[in-house]
Amino acid sequence: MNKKLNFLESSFCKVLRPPQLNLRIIKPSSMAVFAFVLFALFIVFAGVIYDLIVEPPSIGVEYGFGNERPVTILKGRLNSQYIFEGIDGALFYLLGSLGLILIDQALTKERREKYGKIMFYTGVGLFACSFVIIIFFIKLKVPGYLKR
Amino acid sequence: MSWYPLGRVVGGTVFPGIMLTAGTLYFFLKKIVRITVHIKHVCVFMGPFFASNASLITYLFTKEVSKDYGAGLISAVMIAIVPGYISRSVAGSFDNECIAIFALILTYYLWLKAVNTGSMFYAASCALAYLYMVSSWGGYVFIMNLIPLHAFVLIIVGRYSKRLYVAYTTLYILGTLLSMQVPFVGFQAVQSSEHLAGMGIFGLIQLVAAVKYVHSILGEKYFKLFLKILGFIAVSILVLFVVIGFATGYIAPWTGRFLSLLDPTYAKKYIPIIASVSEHQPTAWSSYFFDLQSLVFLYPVGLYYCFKNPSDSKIFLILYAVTSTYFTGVMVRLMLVLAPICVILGSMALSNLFKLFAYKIREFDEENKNKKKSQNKNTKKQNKKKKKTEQNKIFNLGYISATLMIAVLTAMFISYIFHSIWVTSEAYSSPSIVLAAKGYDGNRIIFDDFREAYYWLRQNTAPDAKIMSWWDYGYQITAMANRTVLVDNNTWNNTHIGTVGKAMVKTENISAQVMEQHDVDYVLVLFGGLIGYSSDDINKYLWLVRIGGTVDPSIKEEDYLNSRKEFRVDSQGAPTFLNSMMYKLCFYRFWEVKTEGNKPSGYDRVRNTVMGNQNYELEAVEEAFTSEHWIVRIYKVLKKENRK
Repeated sequence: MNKKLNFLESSFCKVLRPPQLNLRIIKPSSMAVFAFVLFALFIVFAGVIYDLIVEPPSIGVEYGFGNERPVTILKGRLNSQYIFEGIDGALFYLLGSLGLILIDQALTKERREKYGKIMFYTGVGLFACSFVIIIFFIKLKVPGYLKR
Repeated sequence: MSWYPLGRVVGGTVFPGIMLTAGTLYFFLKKIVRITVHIKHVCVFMGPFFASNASLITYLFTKEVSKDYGAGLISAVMIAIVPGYISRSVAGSFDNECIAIFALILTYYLWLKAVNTGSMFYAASCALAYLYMVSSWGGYVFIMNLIPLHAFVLIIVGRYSKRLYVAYTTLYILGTLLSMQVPFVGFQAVQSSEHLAGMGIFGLIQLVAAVKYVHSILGEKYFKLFLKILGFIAVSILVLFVVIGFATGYIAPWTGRFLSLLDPTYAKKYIPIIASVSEHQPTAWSSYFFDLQSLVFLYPVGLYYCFKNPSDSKIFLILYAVTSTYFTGVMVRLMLVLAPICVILGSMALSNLFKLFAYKIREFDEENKNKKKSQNKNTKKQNKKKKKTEQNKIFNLGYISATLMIAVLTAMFISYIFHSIWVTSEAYSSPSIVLAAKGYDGNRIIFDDFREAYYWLRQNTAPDAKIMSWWDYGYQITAMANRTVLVDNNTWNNTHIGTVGKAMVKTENISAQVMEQHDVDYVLVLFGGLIGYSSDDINKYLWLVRIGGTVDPSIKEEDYLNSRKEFRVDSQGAPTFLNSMMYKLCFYRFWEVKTEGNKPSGYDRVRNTVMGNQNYELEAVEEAFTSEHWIVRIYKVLKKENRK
């Protein structure tokens, strides 16, 4: 049995020589993968695919009193955006989520008291402000939001 | 009849699930429970009924994944009103997605049960639920690619186990066999590229199980040799299979619908019909907030919790979330598939956050009780403990702060409810066939033109009359006017639709030839210029040009735009457009009408200009009917005279 297997091994290795790849198996930590997923989420929430297909302008223009003023948010229509507007919106979505993640990190891990306090209050502030700002943006886009 | 003169094989081109379900419910109510309801009422209320079933199954799903019944309850509440799902399951919306989402969550729940327990019973029930899903919706391809992807990721990450092997093998064999029973799918389940992933992972998992078994028998040295030989054979067989399969054409490549999901620019370049449907447009950032409100913030937090304590089911949630977010970015209508996973992850996050603060309050209460019991004894010991653990401790939130945070989270939840109610009432609750608008003094004006026109057709035309219109109105004409149409919403034959498009955008002579070839008796167009209805055929005109251009290469989009590349309806519009059939049909006699007080007659309220080409005569058609607000206009095709 051993002789047969040795013969098999030597003949096989003579015919095919796999290259000497010094591969290392990379095992990223779960939080690194989470950061990558968050980045991918940012790109999709920003409507990058919409930008690629519909090719809107990067910012809008408002004419008044003989000059042109830049306008960030496309008013009135729901499923359309300028490029910068998409990135703005996605930024505030993610800041709000990061605020909540900061709250969770502050309250579940042991660290120095100063840092715990900073993380908690920053998290609360980020979440509350992002929520209010997004609602303000949506009121610009959808006329009559939350009105009869 | 529809698709005159081609006809349509309904049995092989329709998913029978929703009709069978409605029929079964009707039979159950009529014969077993002995309550007489009209089949129409059963169909109208199928959406809400299955949405409530989806709510129940989401509770079970979330409880299974997170082992936390609080999260399950929150998820059941949230999916009951999430606007992304409500938009497709209102009462009266009898479409495939009503039961498809219920079947989707049921299949995934049974799959996770099977993977967690390794029992063949759950895997077989999952296959039955998969059959229900295949018979309901074309989106079953999502299940058949996500479950193999999950199995693959589990193998890579090192979580392969006997439970996974039993679950996946049973599900794949039974599921594929069952899905082939649906006539629409048939042999596509083994032939088309969309199903190849399942087959590939099936082979891979057999290989992994065999290798692990051999590993337990052989020693280390011979195992390495075995791996080398096996690897070589496996790779060569796979390459041979793939090459022969694609070369002989047995394996069909990705079809247009699903290829446009992987490569979003594909439809824009090659298949204008898919690109023209407004539901297939990519998603802008505001639609996410509009359809999901608070969940948009809670969804990454739920992902964070999944990454923090991974398990087999949580890895599945991560994969489902990432893939469905990408697909939703490509097509707005797939927000429906994103809504359940957002709800599940969001409710897990919300429940964990609530628990953090609630435990602080409970700790505070217990500390108070302990303090009252033993105040004097432990002060010295507590002082010593404080000094030791001053460096690293968990941030001690005060009682008031914790209560405030719970109030903030509850306020967010309440705002979610108000938002969902407002969105449903404003955006997703109006019938699309009767339009309503607010008049100058605030009272509501109803535009019932569609039904008026369809009933005119029903009562005033010959029973075998053939109607030519754009494909959006095909189903409505077939159902309400009971007449034969040339093309309808099924859009299975792009060439036929292109021919209709050609007939609409060419001049009257060529259009008359095409209409005579197809035996057309009446032409139906939509025109919104009198009342400002912006979804009329003139606003869709460029899509007709593009789709007609796939059939007749002489139709080019530049011909219909003026010298400044604008699409205009007034005297500055392109002459090709102003002399085309659809322009003449839509604007016939509109020059006699005064729409607004301070504007000349013939003022188009949608494009906000005066119409360009006026005072012309129609030779090939004559006007048969115009509805009250000029929305629907029907023309009768004049037959040629017998002798010249």
